[in-house]
Amino acid sequence: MKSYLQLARHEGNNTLFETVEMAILSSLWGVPLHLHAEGLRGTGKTTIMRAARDIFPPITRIKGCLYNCDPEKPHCPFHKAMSPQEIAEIGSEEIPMPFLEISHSAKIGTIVGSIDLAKITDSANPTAAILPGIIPQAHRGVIFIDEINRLADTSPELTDVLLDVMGTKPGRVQIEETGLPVVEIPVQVSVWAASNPDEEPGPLEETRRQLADRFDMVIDMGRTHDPDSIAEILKLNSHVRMYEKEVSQDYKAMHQKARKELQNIAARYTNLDLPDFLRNYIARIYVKYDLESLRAIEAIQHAALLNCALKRRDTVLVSDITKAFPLALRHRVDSEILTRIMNSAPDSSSSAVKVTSPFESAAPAREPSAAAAAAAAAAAAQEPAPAQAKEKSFMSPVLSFLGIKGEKENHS
Amino acid sequence: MSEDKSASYHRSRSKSFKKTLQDSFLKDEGVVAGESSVISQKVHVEPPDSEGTVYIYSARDAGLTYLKLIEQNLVLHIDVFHNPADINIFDLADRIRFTISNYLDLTEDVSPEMLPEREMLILNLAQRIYLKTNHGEGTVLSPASCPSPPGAQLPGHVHILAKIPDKYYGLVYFLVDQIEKAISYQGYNLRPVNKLVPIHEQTASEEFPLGVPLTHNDAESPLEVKLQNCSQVLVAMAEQLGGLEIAESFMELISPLQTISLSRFGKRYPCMDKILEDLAKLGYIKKEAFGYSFTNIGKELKKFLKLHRKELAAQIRKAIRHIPPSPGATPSGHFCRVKSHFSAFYDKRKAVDRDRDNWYNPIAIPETVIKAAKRSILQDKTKFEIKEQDLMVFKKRCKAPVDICMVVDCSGSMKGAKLQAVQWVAEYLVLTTRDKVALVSFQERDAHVIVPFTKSYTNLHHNLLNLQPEGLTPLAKGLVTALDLIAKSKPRNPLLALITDGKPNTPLFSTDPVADAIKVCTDFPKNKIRFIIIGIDPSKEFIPRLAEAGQGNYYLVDDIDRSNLINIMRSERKTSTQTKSK
Ligand SMILES: [Zn+2]
Repeated sequence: MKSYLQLARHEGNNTLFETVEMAILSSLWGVPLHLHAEGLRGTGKTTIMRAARDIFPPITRIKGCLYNCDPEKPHCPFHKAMSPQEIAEIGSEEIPMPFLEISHSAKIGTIVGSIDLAKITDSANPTAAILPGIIPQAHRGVIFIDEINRLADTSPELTDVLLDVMGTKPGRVQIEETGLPVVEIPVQVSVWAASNPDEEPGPLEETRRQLADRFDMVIDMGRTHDPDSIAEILKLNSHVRMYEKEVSQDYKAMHQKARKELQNIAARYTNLDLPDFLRNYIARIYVKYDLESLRAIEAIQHAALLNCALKRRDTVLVSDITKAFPLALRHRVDSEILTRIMNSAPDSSSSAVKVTSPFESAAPAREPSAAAAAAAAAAAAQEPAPAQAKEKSFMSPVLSFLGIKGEKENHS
Repeated sequence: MSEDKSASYHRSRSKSFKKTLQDSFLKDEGVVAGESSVISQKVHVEPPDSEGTVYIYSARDAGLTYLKLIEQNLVLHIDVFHNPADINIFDLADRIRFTISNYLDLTEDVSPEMLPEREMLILNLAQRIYLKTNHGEGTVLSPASCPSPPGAQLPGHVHILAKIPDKYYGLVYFLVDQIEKAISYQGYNLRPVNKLVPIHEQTASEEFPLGVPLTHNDAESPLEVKLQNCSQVLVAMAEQLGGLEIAESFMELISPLQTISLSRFGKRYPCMDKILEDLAKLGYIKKEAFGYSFTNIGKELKKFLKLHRKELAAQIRKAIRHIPPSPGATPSGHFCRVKSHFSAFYDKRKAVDRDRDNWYNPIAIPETVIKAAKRSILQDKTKFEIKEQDLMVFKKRCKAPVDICMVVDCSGSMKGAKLQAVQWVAEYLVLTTRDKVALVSFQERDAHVIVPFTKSYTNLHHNLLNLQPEGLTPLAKGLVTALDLIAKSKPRNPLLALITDGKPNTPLFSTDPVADAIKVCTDFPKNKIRFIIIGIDPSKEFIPRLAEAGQGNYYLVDDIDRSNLINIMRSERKTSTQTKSK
């Protein structure tokens, strides 16, 4: 399987790369981010999502805890009542951030948890204990579901489980086993899903509206038609075949670098916040377009912060929000409404917009004159660099090292 | 009045004025103050020959309009109207600075050590007030002379934008007074304002050409917005023209070299002119001496279509599935339903145990007797009896698909929106149900199977592109063709839907076209074909007669449009799969 960094980025899939990176960052901040990649066959959505594991930073858990208890705030039935000393005695370990997949044949017991047969049949010390399923085991990580639309259609029980897991942040999961009390465990899990809306039973938002709304962001996948990108894909492939061993060593180091970078960003921007005027702008969109779901605007806000952090900027800009709109709204509003919302943002590159200093000028943008221009220039001097200057994502240095062009401008 | 008394009087006036402003801003209204001043947070203008009336546009924020601010309701817009004159801006700025200082003296107690901060506050407020007269413009702190070009009309008002925190709104009370005084002292007359008329503009989506707002479709828009606009425009075009393929060939005709082909295209697709107009409004094309040609962003749009054909097609399918079922809405017009025979809804070959969900289904007598007998034997009962637990019922055929044959009038009068709606609904049915759909057209003197029964969207869509309305209405011929098709294809639960907007005028067997059509209809019941008619029939005569002959339901609608067709087809499909009898 190809490494995450080997996958060619182009205008059709770049958004997925970016959102996947946002989701990893979000996990580091302790906030699950639920992604749903929708696209026709052959757009590489599952490949990218699965490969993202390569750059998952590690997490620290109580040694051997299947629920991935954070030593600082244990939550599982075994550890949550323990004192810090007791936990310190058990010790801790670093494991890769979990990435577990729910297959279509998985039983609900495997997914949420079931009675631990090994323990109950232990003749020396039979105990009735719960064996956590895939979801609780993915705590602080990701579960991946391919063809979510089909799965949701055929398995209503799983849909209910997901609604609980994704309903709140963190979510919860209930393990029921006859003869045992119901166990409810908080889970902080990002659900990543993929589907082809064109195949049976159709788009998730039509078949399972409530579940579709639980996804913070939907990524619309495209293919590339740009000969350069295609050539690059070919080049990468042949490259791999010829120097497989060496390259993979290279990539290992690069993965390590990317992980570190994500951790640095997570630490540096943990207090990033939206300026009030942008928060108000989002709130007004919510009211004006009568959006049904409060989740939608929460997602817009969160995505804007993540995008800003990944671009290593200290100030959230209008462009961060514009970027979040299609991701957070495509599955929630009509395309025509989305068009209107996206066009509602004042031009993010115009200067008089985002000044927040106390001495800002009220120079008009419409009627330019010497005085107004001077005032605008003075105001511009106090604001962060314009948003439209080509920004690089945190991956750019890594990618350019490998000779890969990241984030291509679309059909320019 | 003593100094103290005067101060407290003005202080309380300013306070109540601030309250007045805040109250009216909450209602998106403005305030007329002084003799000739208007204050609001909106755009307000004086219509020509207003005679003291000012229009206020309650949906247009002043900060957004004049200063491109994102957050609304931040900017006070103050206009002081006067007879056309060159108002000296430096004088105004001086007076305003002075007023700010006086206002702060009056309303805020300042200890001596706070004085520097107060100075800063004055400067800050002065910087936040922007002025414009015919003579110049700028902030109160830095006004600049900026005469308008010779011959330009002298403006009749002082235009002020103040981006001040609302705790200082009381300042406006003094500001207005001072500016009115300044105008008078400069020797000009004020023009009294006596009425503020709210203007509510429509913000309906239909106003947007092809669904795209005009505001930001320029080169500087962020990439995401441009792409969204491209796909919105293309999907809207495809929707109006009846397919992405048509939109694509239409775009090929936009060139000064293709003017003749373009006008031919326009004859076939009457909505073309409006689309051209919209494309021009959005800046994708421009009109030149010899016809239309693409602008740079128009070329991008064309390229976008070429690159994203598949994704756009998927989006259109999504839009078709999404046609709003308009909950609760019933088709407009008259209709009549015949009683349905319940047997059609139960599968007489399948009996199931009676339970909570199916207790009202008809009882399957033989199966019930057999079951009771078995139980008696197993339980060693000597007497045969039927208990409740033995009851068996016929299973509902609820999952049985309905295969729909649409028989469509394609005479000239159906051209445009009506036929478009039919095509759209056929595609909708294929995309949202498990039904097969066929389409027979009748026009001129003939009828054709345009689409044989199919479940494939691609198949249907491609065949529908051949639909070309013209000519006469040979209804009977159409029905016969449909009957043949049904006999040949052996569909499940066939439903024949006739869609027409006029009386037949081409006979088949005799000289009476209506009688011929009725004759064909009488064959439907014995062939177990459910029959419905959706149509426009001003005489309300021939459609009911046809329906009676075919023992079908009919719907006389005011217009053949998507929502009518979809609502009818949905409810007809339901009656085909469910029961109404208890
Ligand atoms: Zn634990």
